Amino acid sequence: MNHLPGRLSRPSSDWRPLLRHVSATAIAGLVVLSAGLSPSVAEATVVHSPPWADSFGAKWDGTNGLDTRASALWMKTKLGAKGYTAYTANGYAASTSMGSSYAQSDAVWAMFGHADRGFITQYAGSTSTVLHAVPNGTLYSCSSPHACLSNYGGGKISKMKLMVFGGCYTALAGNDSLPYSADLGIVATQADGVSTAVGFDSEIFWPPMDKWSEVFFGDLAAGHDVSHALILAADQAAISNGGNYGGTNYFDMFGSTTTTVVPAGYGS
Amino acid sequence: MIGSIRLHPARGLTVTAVLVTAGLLAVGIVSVSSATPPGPRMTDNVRPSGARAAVERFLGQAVPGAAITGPDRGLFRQTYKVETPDFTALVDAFDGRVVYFLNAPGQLIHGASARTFDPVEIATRVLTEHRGAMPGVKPTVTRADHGALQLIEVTWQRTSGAIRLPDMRRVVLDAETGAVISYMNDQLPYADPPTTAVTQEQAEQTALAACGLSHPSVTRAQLLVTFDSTTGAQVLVWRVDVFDESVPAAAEVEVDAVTGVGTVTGRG
Repeated sequence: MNHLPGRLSRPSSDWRPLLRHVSATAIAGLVVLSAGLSPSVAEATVVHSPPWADSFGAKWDGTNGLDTRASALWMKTKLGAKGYTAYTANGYAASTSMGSSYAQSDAVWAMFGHADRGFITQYAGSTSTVLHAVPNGTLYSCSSPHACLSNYGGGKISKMKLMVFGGCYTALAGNDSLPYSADLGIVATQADGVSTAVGFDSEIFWPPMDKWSEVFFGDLAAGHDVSHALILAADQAAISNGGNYGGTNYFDMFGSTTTTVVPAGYGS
Repeated sequence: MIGSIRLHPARGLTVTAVLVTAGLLAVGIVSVSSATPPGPRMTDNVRPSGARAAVERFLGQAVPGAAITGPDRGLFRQTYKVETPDFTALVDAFDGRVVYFLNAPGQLIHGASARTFDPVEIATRVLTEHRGAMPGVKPTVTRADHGALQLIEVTWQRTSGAIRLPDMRRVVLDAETGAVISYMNDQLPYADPPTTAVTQEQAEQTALAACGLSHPSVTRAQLLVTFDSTTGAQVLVWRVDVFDESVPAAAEVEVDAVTGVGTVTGRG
């Protein structure tokens, strides 16, 4: 299992992945030591300056494969221009996306992929890896390359301002008769302490989602709050696509409706 | 200034001065020759100054500090974005019409009629004030549940029998206060649609066969007039959404309602 796909091909001028790969743990330790914090707080979000933002996309194999990489790239483009150390990760495992070098260091986090009630997937190493809302015990595990969002409480991602689950039905809880019950947005905001989470309660489609991502992160970068950005992104996606929302108007918001991400910074 | 450029549900907008003269309009709109566009409305006829003038006509007052970007290329039209801290407007680059207006959240009007407002009355007034009324079309009122954000959508959708036509108006209100959130006037020129030769059941079977998924089921189907994304030619289609829980994956398939040919237009 390659947890760092694509990093060897990055431009040499892109210093940030190297920083993350080599020294994220050291930075976390330094932060804890310098602040004199207790061991229980050592799992808190690793705070960087400038703050970090990560988005995850993938291209699934096959002629019918979904490609969400452009949507992920828009977050990097828009927030990278507003003071974030923004990074787009293509084809990373779900467990990697939640790791100390990603979600646990992020002020903003977004994932785009196949999904259903209670989980979202990323295609990594020809395998669909799953980020579940909660542990399920039977169908999938929370072990790498998969992950369970509910395992990131205790302050691990509580300084994250915004978490976007860009996939079908990600705003709905899994059927309780299935192993993947519970809702990603609720777990993120209520159990993990993320300020605002966004999901969708219907199917969503690409390419309209690419326009949605461009407008959503662009409007956030312009200083508007998440409510404004969500409304504008859905409506502009429809206007751009001949009146076809592509499901983007079925967005759901959890937590604060007034979260902003500029000026760049972490949540409280 | 701020108050007067709102889409006010109670007071309405009064044009107190003719701010946009015929001469200014003439300056703003020019003829532009370009390569053959993919659709009849992809020609960029409007300059940025013309987009600003369109918004000024819409509001009945000047917007000297507005930022103008674009035109942004969509499937069947291009739009300029005209923006101030108080609003975001989209202007059709072909004919200079304001197709969308979104109030900034901080500028929302919390009228005294909160909790007792009539959404149709408010929305009708907004449409009439902005010359968007659709006589003969009955509005539908929908509660849009976005989780932490609750909206009311009042929609005028022109139809021909069961066929949805590309002619729609929508006013969105805050569900708690009745404050006007947004206005949409989304219309594209069309000819009378042909007779439908494909039934919904036939279209759904075609979509299930064309989607490329192993265990798909239909989640929604709609008969509508739209346009070919390559040629811009008008088409009558069944737009069929399918979802396969076993992957999970979604597909949007448009089935020509005359020829029966199915084309995958979206994936999710």
